[in-house]
Amino acid sequence: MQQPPDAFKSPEQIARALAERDANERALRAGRPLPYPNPWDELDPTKITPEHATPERITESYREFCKICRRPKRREHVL
Amino acid sequence: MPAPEAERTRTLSDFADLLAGLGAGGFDFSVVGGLAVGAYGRLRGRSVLSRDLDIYADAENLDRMLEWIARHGGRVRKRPQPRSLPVAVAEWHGQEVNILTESSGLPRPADAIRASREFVLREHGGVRVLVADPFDLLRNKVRVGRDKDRPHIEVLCAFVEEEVVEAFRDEERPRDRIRPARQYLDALGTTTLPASVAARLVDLARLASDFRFLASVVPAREFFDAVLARAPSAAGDAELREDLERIAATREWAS
Repeated sequence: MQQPPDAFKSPEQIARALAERDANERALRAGRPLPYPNPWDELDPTKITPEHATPERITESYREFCKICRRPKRREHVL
Repeated sequence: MPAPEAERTRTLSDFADLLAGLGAGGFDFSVVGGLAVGAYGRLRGRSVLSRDLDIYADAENLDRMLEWIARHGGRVRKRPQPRSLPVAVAEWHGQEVNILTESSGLPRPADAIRASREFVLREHGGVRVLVADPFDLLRNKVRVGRDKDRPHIEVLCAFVEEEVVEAFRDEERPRDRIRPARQYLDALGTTTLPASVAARLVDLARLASDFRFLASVVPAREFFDAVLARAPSAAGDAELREDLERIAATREWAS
């Protein structure tokens, strides 16, 4: 197992995170709800998992995201 | 007698055809350097001496822009060489154009371009030109630190100080009120505000976050005393006043 760099996280914490990630992967493949969903995902309904999406779907997701989170308007000056 | 052509101060308007062409070509770039400073200066009725157009872009856009310039009547005089300054020099109708891919104090080109402001050149059919953010320009000029940049620094400080004050006067959200002041400190590379700005902000402070921020960045004890004097003093504001005293205790005041 990968060792934590300078104990930022304990081996137990890393083991737990990897186990949760595996459980999520298995649920995703089986089409079940994720057992350990990322709470931030609820704020972004457009989010997709890129490794399971086509380039067109990724582009479409970006367009949807831009609708709910627009870039701030550029400041304009007139000379 | 008019100034000789070589000594004349130039503005974005002198390069409007080139800037319009590069914009129409879809290149990602932003104007930096003296002409950029001059554009902000003009908004406040100031002018600065500047002759060359300095463009900031990444290496890919630089190569393609040089090709475009050569194809449209310009001349490429120098391409960036390994282990030398990352700048290309071109000539456009007898005027010098420098294209840089890095410069001290400027963010990476992509970030600088994202933060850039759009200038509309009314006399040239509304040509739109991206000009680096004034706080980025100021950081750049301060870091480069040449004597000839001092007038540019003065013009930029005058411009951004007004934005710092406007934010304190007009914005409602705490972060929006404080952000320009933080950007100003970052650009100057200092932790305390100039006295003239601090005095104006103290007069405009009204949110608890304003007072906490000012307590940590005013340049001298007398300004802190003014912050404390303006801070709300009702019974429910005791926590804020305690915070301010705590911040003051961490400050080392210049004698």
